[in-house]
Amino acid sequence: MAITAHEAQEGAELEGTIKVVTLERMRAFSGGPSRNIHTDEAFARQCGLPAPIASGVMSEGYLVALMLDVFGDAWLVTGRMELAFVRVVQPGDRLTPKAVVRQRQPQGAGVQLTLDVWCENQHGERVTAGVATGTVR
Amino acid sequence: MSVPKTMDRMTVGDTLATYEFRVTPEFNRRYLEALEDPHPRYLSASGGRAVVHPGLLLNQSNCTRSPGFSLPSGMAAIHAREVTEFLHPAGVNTLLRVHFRIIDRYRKRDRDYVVVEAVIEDEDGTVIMRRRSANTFSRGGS
Repeated sequence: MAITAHEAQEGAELEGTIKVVTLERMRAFSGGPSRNIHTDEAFARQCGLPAPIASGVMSEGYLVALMLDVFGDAWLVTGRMELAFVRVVQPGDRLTPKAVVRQRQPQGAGVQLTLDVWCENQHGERVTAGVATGTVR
Repeated sequence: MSVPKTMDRMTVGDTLATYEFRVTPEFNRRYLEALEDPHPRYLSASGGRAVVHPGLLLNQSNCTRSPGFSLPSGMAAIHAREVTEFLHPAGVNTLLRVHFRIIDRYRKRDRDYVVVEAVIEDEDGTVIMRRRSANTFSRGGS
């Protein structure tokens, strides 16, 4: 069970469950009416990539799940995330969403948290990183 | 007859055609499986309405989903940066519309970047989510 926003103090470290990226999951996430670099090997090669790469938005989805653990449904009305996609994610990678509470500010009867957030691969490298903010009452 | 602009040539103020879709329970479930996130809020909250998975909203508001999106053959759009604001939950079975607008364009380290604002609204005009995504381009043989 993740720590909640009401409990989280500055410096608290949070970690979500490990996510395994597979081509099947990439196709479920990014599939659509036309071929794309996330779902089709030949199309990825045509576009100069060695193989399909996961959409950066998949790792954003992993981070959103961690934020929902922390903020609950309040994230769906107050959540804000600013991210950079810094490293390619390929099938077989194992990503862990992580966060550290940078700032905790009272907001009336509630609290606003600002967190450093990132997804880390199995080599300990950050693939997506940025800042998230949310408020709970 | 004018030829539609490809994404890599778009400039500030250009818009892409609105994308409209309805989130069925099956469609929502696809994202729970893709992201390994079968939380009960997305299936049917106890006595309440199932919520659309945020991952679905993120993916379906990519500019590539617009019926007006195109790129030259052999070119792909790559996400570089993103700012996302979650403003209101969307319920399953809701009809959603995504409006796209180019809000910035710049060149950095010999790469072009096009920044797209995507706004998701429901049938009542309630804004569900707002995103600003910086996209660059990958081209075969370059």
